[in-house]
Amino acid sequence: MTVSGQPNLKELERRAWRSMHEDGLWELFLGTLLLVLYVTTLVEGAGWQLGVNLVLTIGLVVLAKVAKRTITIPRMGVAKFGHARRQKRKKTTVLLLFSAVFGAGLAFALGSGTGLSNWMRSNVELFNVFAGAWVLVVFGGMAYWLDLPRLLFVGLAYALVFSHILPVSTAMIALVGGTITTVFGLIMLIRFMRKYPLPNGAELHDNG
Amino acid sequence: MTTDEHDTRGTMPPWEIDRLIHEPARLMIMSYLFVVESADFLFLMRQTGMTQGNLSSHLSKLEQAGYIEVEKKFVGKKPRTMIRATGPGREAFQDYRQRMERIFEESKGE
Repeated sequence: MTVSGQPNLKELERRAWRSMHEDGLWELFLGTLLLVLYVTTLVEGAGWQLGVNLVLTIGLVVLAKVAKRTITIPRMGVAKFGHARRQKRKKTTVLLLFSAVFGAGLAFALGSGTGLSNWMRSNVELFNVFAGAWVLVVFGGMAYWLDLPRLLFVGLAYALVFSHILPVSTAMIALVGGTITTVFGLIMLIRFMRKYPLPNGAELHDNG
Repeated sequence: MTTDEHDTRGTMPPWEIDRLIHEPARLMIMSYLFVVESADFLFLMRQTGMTQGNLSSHLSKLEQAGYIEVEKKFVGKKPRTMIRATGPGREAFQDYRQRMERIFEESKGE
């Protein structure tokens, strides 16, 4: 509330926006994505690894969308936010698409056997630090534009996986980081479902 | 306040305020509808913490005054009531805010 007893509109809008993301689905999605990375390392052969990763990732995207529609919306309702929020979401999408294409390009370059791949292999430590920093930039952008600072912590887990700075295997970091993030997401989801139980039939179907 | 009263808002003396919006529950509803383009009934219920009956009755008053529009539609087989602030509703809310700010500014100087 402001001095004049009126609600602070900016804060009100932010609270409404964040309440739509209290469900922990971002953490569940990103955590299980890390676990998919771990599973991928168990598969032998680059082609199989890519296939398994792609199928599981697409499955997770579909699952996240279904969960939003069947868990969050029936409990929280829906709202169409303003132009500024939509612009920020677009920026996040562009950033994610760009980093996916950039990452795929780097992976392709690494396996191409060209001068660039030789350079990357001979400067692997520098390359890893760059990868970790890039991941942090991407998650920083997501946290800022989506107005969800907690995504930075998830970004930290991803950065540890991609930067290889810990003296533990990447698979192990992905497993631990993915498990912690997923458990955190699950706790958030349970809290969300308790805080916002399904409204009764009348509220759902005869509202207004 | 009736629609007729709403029409005379432009000629309202500067110290008068729109009592339809001034009511705390309706002020909260209008604030939420001002910051989003549209929202459904459940969303407003969750955000404001009002009961179904309470929210329904306040929405009816705001709708009668022409401040909000209520649209009932089906998403799949489920009905959904979408609510949005109308142009006059947004103007009335802005006007209310400015008047309140002016009143508080003036009272600070006294």
